[in-house]
Amino acid sequence: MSWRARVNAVLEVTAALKEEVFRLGSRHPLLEKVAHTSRLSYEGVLAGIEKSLEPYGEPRSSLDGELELLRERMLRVAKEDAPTHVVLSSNVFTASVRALISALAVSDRVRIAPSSRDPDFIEEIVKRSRLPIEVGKVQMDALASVQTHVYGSEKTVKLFDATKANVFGRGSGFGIGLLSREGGGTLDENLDAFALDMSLFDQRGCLSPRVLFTDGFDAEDVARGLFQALERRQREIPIGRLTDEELGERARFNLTGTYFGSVYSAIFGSVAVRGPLRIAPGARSIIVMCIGSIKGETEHERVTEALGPLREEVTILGTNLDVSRVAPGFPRVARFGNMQSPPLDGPADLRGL
Amino acid sequence: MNSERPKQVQVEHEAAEISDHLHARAAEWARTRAASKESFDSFFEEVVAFQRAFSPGLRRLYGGGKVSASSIPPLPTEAFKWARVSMFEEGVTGKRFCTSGTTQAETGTHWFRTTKAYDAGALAFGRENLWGPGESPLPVLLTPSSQELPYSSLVHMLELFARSLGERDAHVFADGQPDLKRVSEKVAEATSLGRPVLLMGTSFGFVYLLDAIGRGRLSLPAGSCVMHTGGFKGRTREINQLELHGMFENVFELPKDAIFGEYGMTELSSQFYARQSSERTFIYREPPWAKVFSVDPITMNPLPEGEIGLAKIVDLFNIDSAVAVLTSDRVRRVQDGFELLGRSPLAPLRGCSLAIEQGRA
Repeated sequence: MSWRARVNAVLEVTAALKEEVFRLGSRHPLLEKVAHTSRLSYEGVLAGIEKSLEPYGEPRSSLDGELELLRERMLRVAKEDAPTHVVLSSNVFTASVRALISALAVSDRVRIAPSSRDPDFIEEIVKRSRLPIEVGKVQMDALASVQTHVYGSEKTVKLFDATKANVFGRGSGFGIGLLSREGGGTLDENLDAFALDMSLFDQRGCLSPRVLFTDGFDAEDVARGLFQALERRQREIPIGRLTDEELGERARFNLTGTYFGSVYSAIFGSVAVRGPLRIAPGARSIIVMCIGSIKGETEHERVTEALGPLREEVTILGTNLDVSRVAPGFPRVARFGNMQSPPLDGPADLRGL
Repeated sequence: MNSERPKQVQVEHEAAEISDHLHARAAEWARTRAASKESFDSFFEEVVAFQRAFSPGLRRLYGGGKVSASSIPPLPTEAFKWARVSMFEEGVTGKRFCTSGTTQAETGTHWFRTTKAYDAGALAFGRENLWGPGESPLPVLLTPSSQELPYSSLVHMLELFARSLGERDAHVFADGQPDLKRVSEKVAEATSLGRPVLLMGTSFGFVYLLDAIGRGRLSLPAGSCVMHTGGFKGRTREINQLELHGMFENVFELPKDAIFGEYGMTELSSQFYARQSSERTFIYREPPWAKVFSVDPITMNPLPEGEIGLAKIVDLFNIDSAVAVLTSDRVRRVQDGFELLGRSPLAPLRGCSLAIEQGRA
């Protein structure tokens, strides 16, 4: 079977599943399972499927080009047709499909190790695809003879790196936003779209934004407006169940935010403004930071300057500017509202590729 | 704009005057202890009023209403990494202590305009726990010197102890680890002088020393005592406190009650000491000017005795920074003190042992 046939098999069953979930809604058994394991609300699961599960409905020609690029990128780090193990993380349930496709694009011998916390979605996709894909726990003793694609935290990737096996690790990092007065859209439109980027997967993914840089706006106005936008999103996509750790991190974030400036906080999110750059902990929380006084010719330069060494951790920049204006320097650039819908042209974060 | 500068100078002058007054009282409190007329609650109110008046950040954090030590919102320790947590500008704060910052690029900094309260408090409570009035143990420090680690609060404190005991050259550290030969020489010197030894260092420094001693023993003179601080998280080796104390008893031939664990951190001005209790646990005790609360990590409300929460530390000697600090350490209040139960799972790795090994900081 060709790599395209393998990949298409997965894309077709994914599209069919997507259609089925939207047709059956809350009666679909997978919805409840995923809501339970992912801790997202039902609406959060549906929003994730709608916005982040490939294929997004692009014209075929566009998708074909993306897949060619995905294969080319994967071949930079993986040997063709070598036995491949894929170790999945549990933060973003839809990301497992991209991880599977990335492996199938270069290998016909794939074994998937779903996260024990979030196994149902990818198991259903594999079952429906009828491809000879093994599903099971990581076989640590087999790592020396296979290529291993590890998706997860730095800690998980390091754990596998330590085995000295052939490991391709992805998954950490965070997104940022850049809201410029010179960009398109009204403030409310942009903040509504950005609130969607923040709300998807309750900000647990590596494409989720953790900082919003603003240029030409009053940061306090932006923070207040974003908090209201998050409240509107909450009515549409209620926040799911947060762990005690997530709630604790947000409580600390609110305390430091109050010390440094203002914090707008409720159960559905937390927006801090002013103070030094720091990375919001997730659970729909964000720092709003004005870059007007930071040196640099362009917004892009000022954002890069503001980030300092943290720029290496950035996976995606969302913006209301023309994306070609800010493209260089970040692995991905997207319009607000599309930060969690990257083209299927490689792993989600693209860093180092 | 020109009229702003004199106004600012006037404010700084006023703040410095109040700070000096509070430091002087704190130092006197530490020196006179039981005889002192200071009370925790009234001193707390004065420090909070001072910090509210001169720090916009703390004014926002504390809010406008009355706060008590148990209700005051604490400043998380990470704030010390991201910005200056100080009532004063950089030119006015002559001394600083830095955290080791083991997993993050940034390190936290605690700026001091003066270490008057810090020094008096550390010395008074150290003396109360580690050596008694009239005693003069020979201090032996298993750490680099302050010339090598100028921003280490631990090294500052240990040298303070050593100086107060009349020793200027108490370090026995070379090539990144304690030097067994020099430790042995110090012990022999103390024995010949009939003085007990006060052996102090990081937990991991002690592990190096114990490794160097191997299966042998290094018997310390009668009346000697050991004080170690910091944990092992993130190290390739980890030894629990009970096991470590057992090794100290065996190798240094000391009774249990001569072995102390110390808990302190860069963001504080006070320290806490524990000896092993009969229940195989370690109960840390606070000086009269500091209180440790076990708080709910989400609501920050104090938890009842026996419940595990995060350590919120109200340290009245943090006069020029933040009087209430939220750590990432888990604690449980018990009668007469608290137990230290390790780092919260999400907390970044840090600590004195690591700082020294890498080159409390």
